[in-house]
Amino acid sequence: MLWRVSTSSTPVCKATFARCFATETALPAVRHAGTHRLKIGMVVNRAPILTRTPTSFEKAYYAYQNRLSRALSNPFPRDFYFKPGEPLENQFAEEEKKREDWLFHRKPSKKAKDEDTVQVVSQDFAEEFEPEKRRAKADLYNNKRSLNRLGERNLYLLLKKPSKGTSPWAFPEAEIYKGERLHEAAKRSVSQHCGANVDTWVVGRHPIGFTETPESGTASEFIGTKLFFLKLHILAGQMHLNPDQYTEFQWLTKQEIEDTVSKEYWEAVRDMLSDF
Amino acid sequence: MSTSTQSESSSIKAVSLLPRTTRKHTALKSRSRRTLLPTPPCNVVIRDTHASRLADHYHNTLKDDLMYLTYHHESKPRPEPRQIRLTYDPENPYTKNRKNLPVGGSRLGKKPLPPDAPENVIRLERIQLHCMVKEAIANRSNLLPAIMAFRALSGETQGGGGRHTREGVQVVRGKSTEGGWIRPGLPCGVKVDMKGEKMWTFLSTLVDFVLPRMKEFSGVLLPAPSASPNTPSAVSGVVSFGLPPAAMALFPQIEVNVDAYTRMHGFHIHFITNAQGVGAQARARALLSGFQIPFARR
Repeated sequence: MLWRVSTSSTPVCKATFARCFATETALPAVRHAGTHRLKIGMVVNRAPILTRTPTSFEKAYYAYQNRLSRALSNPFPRDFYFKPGEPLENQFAEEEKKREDWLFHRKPSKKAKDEDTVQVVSQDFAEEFEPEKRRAKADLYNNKRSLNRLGERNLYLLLKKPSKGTSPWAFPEAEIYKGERLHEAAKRSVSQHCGANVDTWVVGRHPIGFTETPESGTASEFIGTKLFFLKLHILAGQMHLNPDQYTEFQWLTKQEIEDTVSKEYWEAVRDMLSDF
Repeated sequence: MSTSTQSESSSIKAVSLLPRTTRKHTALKSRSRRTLLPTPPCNVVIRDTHASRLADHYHNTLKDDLMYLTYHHESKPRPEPRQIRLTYDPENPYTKNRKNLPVGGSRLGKKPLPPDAPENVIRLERIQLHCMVKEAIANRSNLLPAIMAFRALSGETQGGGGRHTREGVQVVRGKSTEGGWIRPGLPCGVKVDMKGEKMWTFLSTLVDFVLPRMKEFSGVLLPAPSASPNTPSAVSGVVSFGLPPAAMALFPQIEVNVDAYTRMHGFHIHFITNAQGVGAQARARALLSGFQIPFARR
């Protein structure tokens, strides 16, 4: 299942539209909370697109439960499902025998195949619906920019700031403009950071995390920054970064994020992220 | 075993008059006399035979999102509930063991939801199917097609898989005499409860096979904006809707041999969640929309 590229069907947000027609690039007023700068951080999540591969213990457990249920269930009511002499019945009986042989670790019988059993289910059907491979190309090359990598896991977007030295990687951040609510700011800023070709959905209006960082310089009018994290889901699209603000992006799992971001940042964000 | 009992048992030795035969280990060959089904020599409970896709989706994605979506922050502790006087004096010995509700009723419609916590995030507990067959009042054998169909849809049997709480497909009987067409004990319908793996399987077949192929189904109808939030259904945490008889033939379990079922029945589906209180049904709808069940306005 490859990631769908969406053509920008979502209307361009009002603020940027208005700015296109402004004679001077008058920036909208930024919201502050008295002594603190207000910002939002976006935890953009790509939910799993593949079912989990069962572990060897899970496989053994499910096989055991299947053996139990087959041994203890009512006998299959053949007359209810098949008319007498129906060719489908023979095919079903063969398939059932194979399944039971596999489940109960029996050696399959090497009898010559009965020529009368016609393959009733056509081969074209099987060819038409061939499933895609679970390991995408992105897994082979470990392409961390791809949304198709690690389909079973939850991936999160990290962006790299050009200015910061030691710990450049962080979740996308943005200012909140006056008259804007948190979730509106999140929607707007994601389209600004990631481009117009990205379909996202903000999970409700409540922030999922909060950090307060003191201001580093002495000349600033603010004593700190309050950062509210909001969760978003990416549904489809491709990233087109705004090069003024961020240089690179990655889609990482929780464990990979721990290795990438700074220790203080990790302690602040770890509890918002899904372990698997 | 103490030595005294050992000597006792050795003195009262039971001598079998029947010839001794060596029995092979017949673990699953002994059968129950009543059902003629093989009975294992130990209590066996059959659990999940495969990973449920929707259950995993709930735990991976939906549960977190629903916690964020339905969270209501309470900055102050809740005020004490109003103490309304009870109908009967609890000290009065004549009325001591009577059902003693507050005056004016149990106020079920006004009860708030419990405080939001990760433990009581909304989840799907069970799905119940119910079909009313009025012709069964005249002749009980009219229930048989419905019972067969529900057995195929749910896969549930009484005590199936060693689960003693599973009741399988049950017959619904009349509770009271109403209007001359029903009496207590008269069978008039069929119902079945699905939990666990079978519940998730049913939900996925409903969403993937049935609802997309139904003609003239835009979604489960939402209540009107003017509807009261204190009605019993609104505080129940149960979302219900019905399917027409034509929908029964769209389920793969029945579609495979539609001719074997003499009659198709329409039925109700009830999604029962763990939420109870004002706003519970809205949360249940949020949960179900996460499983891709569509909702529509009138």
